[in-house]
Amino acid sequence: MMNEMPSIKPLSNIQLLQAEEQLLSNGVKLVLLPGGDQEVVNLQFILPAGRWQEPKHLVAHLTAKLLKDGTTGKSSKEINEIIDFYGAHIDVSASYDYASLSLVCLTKHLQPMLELVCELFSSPTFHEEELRIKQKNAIEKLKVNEQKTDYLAQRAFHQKMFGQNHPYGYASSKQNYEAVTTSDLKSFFQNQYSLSDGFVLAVGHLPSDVLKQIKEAISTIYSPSRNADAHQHKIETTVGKFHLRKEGAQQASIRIGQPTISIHHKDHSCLKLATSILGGYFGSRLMSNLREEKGLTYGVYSTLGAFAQQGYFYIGTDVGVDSVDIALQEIYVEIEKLQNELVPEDELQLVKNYIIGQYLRKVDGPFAQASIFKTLILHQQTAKEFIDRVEAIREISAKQIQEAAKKYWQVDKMVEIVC
Amino acid sequence: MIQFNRFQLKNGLTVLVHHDDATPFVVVNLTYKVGAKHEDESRTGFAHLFEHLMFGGSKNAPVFDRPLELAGAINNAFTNNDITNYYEMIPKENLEVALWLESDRMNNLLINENSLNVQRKVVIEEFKERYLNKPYGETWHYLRELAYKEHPYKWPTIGKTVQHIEEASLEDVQEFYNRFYSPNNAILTLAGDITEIEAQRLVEKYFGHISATETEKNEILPEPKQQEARTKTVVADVPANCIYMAFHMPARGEENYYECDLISDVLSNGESARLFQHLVKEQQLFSSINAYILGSFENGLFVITGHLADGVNQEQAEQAIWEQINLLIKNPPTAEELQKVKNKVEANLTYQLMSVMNKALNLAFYEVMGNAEDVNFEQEKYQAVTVESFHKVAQQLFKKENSNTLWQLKQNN
Repeated sequence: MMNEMPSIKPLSNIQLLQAEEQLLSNGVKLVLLPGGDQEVVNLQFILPAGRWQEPKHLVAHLTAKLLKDGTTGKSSKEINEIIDFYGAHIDVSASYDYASLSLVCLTKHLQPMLELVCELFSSPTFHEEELRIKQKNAIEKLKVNEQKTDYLAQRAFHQKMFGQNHPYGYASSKQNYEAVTTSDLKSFFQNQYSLSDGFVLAVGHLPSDVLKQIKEAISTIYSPSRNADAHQHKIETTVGKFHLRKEGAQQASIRIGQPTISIHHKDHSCLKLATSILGGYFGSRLMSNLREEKGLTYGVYSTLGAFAQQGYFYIGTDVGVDSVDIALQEIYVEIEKLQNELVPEDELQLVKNYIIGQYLRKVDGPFAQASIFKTLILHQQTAKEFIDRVEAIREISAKQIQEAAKKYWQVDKMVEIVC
Repeated sequence: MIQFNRFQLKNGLTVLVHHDDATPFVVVNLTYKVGAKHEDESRTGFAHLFEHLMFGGSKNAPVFDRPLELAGAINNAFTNNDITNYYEMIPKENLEVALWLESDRMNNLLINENSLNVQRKVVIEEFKERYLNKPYGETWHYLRELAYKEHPYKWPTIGKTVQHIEEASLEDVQEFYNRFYSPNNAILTLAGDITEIEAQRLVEKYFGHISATETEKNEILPEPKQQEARTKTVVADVPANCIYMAFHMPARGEENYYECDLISDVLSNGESARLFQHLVKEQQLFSSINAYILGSFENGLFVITGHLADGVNQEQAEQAIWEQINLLIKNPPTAEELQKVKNKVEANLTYQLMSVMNKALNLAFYEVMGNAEDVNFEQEKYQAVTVESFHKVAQQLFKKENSNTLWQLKQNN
């Protein structure tokens, strides 16, 4: 009996919590995901203040990074003393499509943290000196990164894929950092940090008195709608092979890919499945070939990325400097194989289960689901569309995979970077 | 608080069960009490290389990952100086698949020249990717060698050199497996939607037939007390000068360990902490600086690492760190400062309870160190630290003769 594998039971359906939405008196949308067995609260404030919305490179990033470095009433040090005293985390960051402030704390310390967050949103000062220190230290960090082949490859890849002035494409250079001034930050904050153009997720331990606290606090934040999302940027891809080898490196970093369909497209699930078969898990074709058969690399993966405005497909790996040619050759062989041959049924079933297992983990509890709801709201999708998209994966055929691989992987339109 | 039950099979396998029905998953965490510290000094990196071979298939499951992928699970493993740890997070209805796979590779691992060849190459690429092909990648090779003279913590888990990986032979591998991969040298932790009764039935079913073996371990030499300050300077292809200071401190869970952890928090946990406020923001001598402890199961290290700001000279930077250290030696922390770091610990230990994976790992770690119950006394032990005990431990810790200072300097400095 011990020799035989136990039978594998079908995986249960993906289910989302009922997220309750409320509109506060100042026009701010509050989404509630109660649950969890610890007395911990996570509040995520999402704002249209990412790279996509910035008027000048790195302004979104630096505005986010300086938000908790001084208000009219408190210095940076005083603010951080309060956060640390309560064992809370406040992380402010700007991504490609939005900015977010995430607060995690014990429920019993929520009140002072709410007061602090309201203050950060109402009177940040953006001091000259604080900006100067951030710029200097960021440039130091950049110098370290510029000695890493994976960083260099990723940077070049984004530049070629989206264009070197596109918000998804430009590089964080020394010049870009130095060109930002405090008045850039102040006006960006003024124009983009309006919560009624974004939303707030409240997750975790939310009994009614705690909820009341949260609603009262957020309602006081001045949030006039500015219809901020009118920004447009056009992608300019530079197709081709760019081999920019770094002298003295022991490994070369490879990135290959192209812009592709977004999450809204009907073929997206097929392409996601094809991408997973190619390089989305440990037993994938690229991993089996490059790592487990040939020992060329520690890891190789392919991904379908989803920006709010654009999807993209890419493959990444780091290999020994003498193995670049064979690695490139095998990557293209595996792409072609999926375009020319049907995926065997057992492999298809395996990858479907793997992906559904992944979704089961992504919906495991309110804290995990918060990131799903955040993405859904940003992509203007409903919970039902999400569930349908996931459940549709079970029905995809080998033929559809092959068609998606043929249609959306256009090797002659890809960017290939080796650093 | 992590509630759990413990039982042991006749073959010596220790089993810990934590019931949490808020998740549809069960974490299967199998910890083998073998890490880099059990290696021979002339064949380092072996425990980690072996971890790779554990994914090469076993008699009844020739492709280890496949059944797990089919069952909707994720799995991985890690090796450190103390242990090798394997885990699966699997939908509860498929729990038996994970137990069957772990059982088969504990009992019937397939080891052959081909899989050894491939994994040697993979690990060498990992060595390059994580240690050789990036600035400061070899820091821990230098720092461990400087700080430890006898204890096998003197080499990192990946191994001292690539040569050691290249030289690993099939016989070494087979011997290592026979010696360390047995039920009596392992702890199986099940956390998630499973009861103790069900766990007993299933663990007996899948692991009961495996026999115990003699797991003879090399004697681990204790690290002799350091008598004088040590310094080492390396000139390398790095973009900025960096300083690393390591001080010997107690092992995880031992007396004075909790004081050391809170000292590192006062120095560097959060942006209000002393090193960041004084050295990065006020004096602007460093672009980043951190203090932390290793938390290893034996002789630990307290570490400070700083990236110097452009144009700052070495002596000035080192002296500035010592000034901050001397403040701790001279004056106890204020009651409020101590309260701050205790509050942070309270919150962080609570955050850890939110993940069933974390709970399983913590139970396993404490069981290896002696007793899983100790995980539930952590909070108390941190809260018991006083201004006086903190101050006393700071004075013992930060003696010059207990310091190991490593410099990594850029070329043409």
